[in-house]
Amino acid sequence: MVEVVTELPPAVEARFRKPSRGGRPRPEAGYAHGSAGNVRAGTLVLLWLRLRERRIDDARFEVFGGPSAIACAEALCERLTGATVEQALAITGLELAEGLQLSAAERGVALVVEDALKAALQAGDSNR
Amino acid sequence: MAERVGPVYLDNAATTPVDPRVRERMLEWLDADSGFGNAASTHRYGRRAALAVEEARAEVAALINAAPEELIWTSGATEANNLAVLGVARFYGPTRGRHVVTVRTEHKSVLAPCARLAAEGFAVTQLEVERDGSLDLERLAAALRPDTALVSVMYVNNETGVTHPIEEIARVVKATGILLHVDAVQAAGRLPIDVDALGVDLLSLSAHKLYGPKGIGALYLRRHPRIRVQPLLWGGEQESGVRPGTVPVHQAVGMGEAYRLARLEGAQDVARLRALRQRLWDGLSAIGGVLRNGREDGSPHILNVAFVGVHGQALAAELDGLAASTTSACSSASGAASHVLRAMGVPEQLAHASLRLSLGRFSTEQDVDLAVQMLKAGVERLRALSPVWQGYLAGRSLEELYGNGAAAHG
Ligand SMILES: Cc1ncc(COP(=O)(O)O)c(C=O)c1O
Repeated sequence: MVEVVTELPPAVEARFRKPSRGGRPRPEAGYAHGSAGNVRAGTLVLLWLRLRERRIDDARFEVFGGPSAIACAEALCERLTGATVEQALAITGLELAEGLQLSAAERGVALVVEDALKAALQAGDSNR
Repeated sequence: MAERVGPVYLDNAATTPVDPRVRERMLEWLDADSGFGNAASTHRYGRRAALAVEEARAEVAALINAAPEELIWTSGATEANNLAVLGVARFYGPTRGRHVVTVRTEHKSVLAPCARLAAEGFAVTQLEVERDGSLDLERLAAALRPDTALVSVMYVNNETGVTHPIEEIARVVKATGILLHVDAVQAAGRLPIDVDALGVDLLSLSAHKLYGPKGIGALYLRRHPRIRVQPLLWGGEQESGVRPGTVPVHQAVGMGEAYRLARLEGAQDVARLRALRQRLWDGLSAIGGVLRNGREDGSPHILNVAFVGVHGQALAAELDGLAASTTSACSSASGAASHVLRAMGVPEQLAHASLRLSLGRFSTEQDVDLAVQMLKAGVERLRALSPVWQGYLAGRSLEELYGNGAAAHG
């Protein structure tokens, strides 16, 4: 029997099952937006950041991707909330991947998340 | 109602539970004092076993309107398909020609032996299918050559339930004297099979897809005119030397009983399956953004659907309570999408987000309703996070969302 049993690392499991920062804000809310990846390659990450001065007071995501990609975007948004832009710029995909205990094969999705972060921060910069 | 011990089982195209009546018959043949004889022995134990094996053979033959002596026991349909494809090509290749024709959506147990033949120097044509999985008969006719020895086409596709019109295919193929093999594993018990009316030369069957035991199947080999195959195994005289090896009596008895029950109860089963599949489709299509892979007029036990906007691995991770078939069960991102769906032109990521749900004799309306409930909850949860779903809601086409021109923003 082809029973679908997917063993996820606990840090992925928790965030994949109950993400709290998924879904896009309304356009008029003035979030800085960035995206990375693409559907054909299997991971597309969209990120929205609300900047107050040089601080991020809200972060939202949408992901077309597997449990690891969803968990990774959620974990990033958790870390971004309340962070300064400088702190945000220092976050790397590798450390997100390690924090979630992603396998080597799944590290790539964390790099896509990092790229979306960079793009959103850049958009925030040029918005100012 | 007994408490459920596992996930809802909607994977009957992968395998079916053994019918308790089949189990009962099989057990007699595992008893030390009654049923352990070797059907090839001439003493009383052997003769008793041989009688049971021949009764079972007659039951399998009856379901497909064949003569009992036209059936060869095998270890399953994988072996039956291998024996048909390799056996015909190797036997007739030197005289009739070294070209075989098959279809891209066939089961791996046909495609892999064809690949083996290609390695042996045969020419192999794999026919393309239409977007709904059907086969264009003109395409088939055009592929036939003077040196074609065999055409192998399945009756019911195991992933989509799409049926091929075997009778019409046989007319095209037989007009040229080419032999026709049909993998009827998923058709048995769900569609009527009459080897004479259909006009097939070889036909593969399996027991465990029809409430019988795993580990046994059969190959129908037409007697008039007599079809020959080169054996895969060499040994004793069992099965006329075409398939040597001691016949597993309890397995044969089990397959015979399973096929007898299918002959007697098939019509009822099919009516139930049809109603359950309609209920399943009604429930799933009401979710929205659910596409059928295949055709409405396919086999009554299989429904294959794609969920727009959902990632295959995320979908798989939502399905702990449901036993169905997905191609994304593997956790690696590189797992290949179904060759059947890809042959039908389903974009790769949509193929990954497709699910084969297959019903059986023991499926209930409650199973169907639970499956719909679980899928609706999981799919809607994932879609709330999905940029592709947002794109779909905004009116983007599947080509824009998933195809070569897929925009980076979904
Ligand atoms: C269409 C089809 N052909 C052949 C097979 C192989 O059958 P078996 O498991 O008896 O080897 C299967 C089952 O996997 C099937 O669905």
